[in-house]
Amino acid sequence: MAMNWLRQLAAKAPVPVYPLLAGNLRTDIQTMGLDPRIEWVASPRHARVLLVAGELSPATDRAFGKVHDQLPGPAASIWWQGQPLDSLADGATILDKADDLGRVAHQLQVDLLSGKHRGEPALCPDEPPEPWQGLGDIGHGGEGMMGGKPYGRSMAMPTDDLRDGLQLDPMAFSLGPFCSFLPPGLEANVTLHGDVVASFEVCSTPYPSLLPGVFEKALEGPVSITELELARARHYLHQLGHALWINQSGTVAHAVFAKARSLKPGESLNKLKKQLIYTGFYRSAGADKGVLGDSQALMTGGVAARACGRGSDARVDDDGYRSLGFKPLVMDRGDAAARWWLWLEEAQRSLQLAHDAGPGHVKTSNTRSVELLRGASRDGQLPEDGTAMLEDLLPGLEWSEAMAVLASLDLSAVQRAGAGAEGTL
Amino acid sequence: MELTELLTLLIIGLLTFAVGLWLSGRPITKPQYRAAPPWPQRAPFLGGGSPENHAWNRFHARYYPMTLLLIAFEMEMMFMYPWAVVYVAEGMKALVEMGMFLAILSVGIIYGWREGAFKWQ
Repeated sequence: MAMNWLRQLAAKAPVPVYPLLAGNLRTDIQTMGLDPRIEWVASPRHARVLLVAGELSPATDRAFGKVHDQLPGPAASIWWQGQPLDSLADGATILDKADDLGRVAHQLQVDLLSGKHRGEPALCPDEPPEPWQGLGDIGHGGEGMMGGKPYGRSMAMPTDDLRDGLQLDPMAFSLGPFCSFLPPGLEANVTLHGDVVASFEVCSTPYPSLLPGVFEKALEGPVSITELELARARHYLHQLGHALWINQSGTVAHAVFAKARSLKPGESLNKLKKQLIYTGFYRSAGADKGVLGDSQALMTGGVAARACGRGSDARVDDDGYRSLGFKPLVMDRGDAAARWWLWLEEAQRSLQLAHDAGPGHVKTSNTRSVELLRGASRDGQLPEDGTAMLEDLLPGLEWSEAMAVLASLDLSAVQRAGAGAEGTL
Repeated sequence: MELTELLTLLIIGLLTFAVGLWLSGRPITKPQYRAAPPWPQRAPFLGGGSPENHAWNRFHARYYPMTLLLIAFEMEMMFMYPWAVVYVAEGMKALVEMGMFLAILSVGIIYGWREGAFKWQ
């Protein structure tokens, strides 16, 4: 089918892709987004292509269908690190290598716009999910002040508002597991009073983070501190980049991801530090919120605990690190901005340690106590999921503040991928 | 002269109509309607989640602090214009009176500040 010139021009634009994470693959997705031929979008409504990363479980089929059908047609999916659903398997586009995403997505866009690919079929029926439930002959009458339940959903009944006790309607909804602004896999029941979070109930914990290969090896035996610290610096920069993206600083986030891809031992991050200060990142909404209590800090461990002056760093127990003069970095503010600040400081210090250790000269010596990316592993115990604390931490915050606090915490459980398995770094 | 102008107007009108027709590319007897999006696309995006109650929801914009500021500044300006005329005649006395007036209004502004009226959201 011939393409008119408008479609030809449209096909040359970066492909808007919505990443649907069916596994804790956010770091990989952030790196894949550096390809100029694609553009991550925050909602499937703005996407032409859906990237399904990871293996979908039958429990999430309904949620997947909802997200899939919200892409305006014609649209198609790309499957990466997982098998396509049976209903979409016919002619499915499967991505073998992450580096190929730009090329494959671009070709898919050309095919969709030229009509060669007619788009994927819908998975949900095209009918009201909650049909009108009136009592009368023509659908009138029923419960509530409206005289019926509009589309089967009841009207909200007034409750006391959190701020000043006005009797207002709460808005209740469930979120996830495929929200790009929540940790991948997290499902929650949320109630809002206006823009204030009244309750946040975790229904399903996020997918566990897989330990990167080098950390896995560090639990088994001595590994190069240079290699370990480079992986750590990369992880913290990715965390910081996500927080920037949540704060609508997409360009800076992109620069951070690009920096994380090509880190060198001893490299300075001063330019980035200044950039974050000048852009007002540390003063954005929610930066001064999310102060952790004692038990929350200890549960979270790692940077979050050190950002509120609690917790320790397992690297002090390692002779290799002690020989490099290692001392833990600690702050006492404990809010979201402190965690962001400490991520960058830790990344900088990791690069310095990687430089000081030399290429493979200094190795770790303690396998019983290893400082992982989120907290320490002592005697083989890995950090457990800590998302339950969000139920106490987020209520009372405005939505933007709550999302900033969420983006300052790494709460998913840590899991071993097995020696040699592909990690997230 | 008037007939020429009317003719010109008519020609411009016809040309505009013809160009509009050509751009739309469709006969006027068959107007095209954009089909409503399918039902799944009409639902809010919640990453796979669903709303529990209807979107017709009463929440408060909380404009009281902003209203307070508007009144404070508006009153200020409303009295300042006539005061500027009186000041020429009354001198220092008018200046002191206006100072007192502004001091009282400032209390309202400071209260609004404390209540977060200047906070950008």
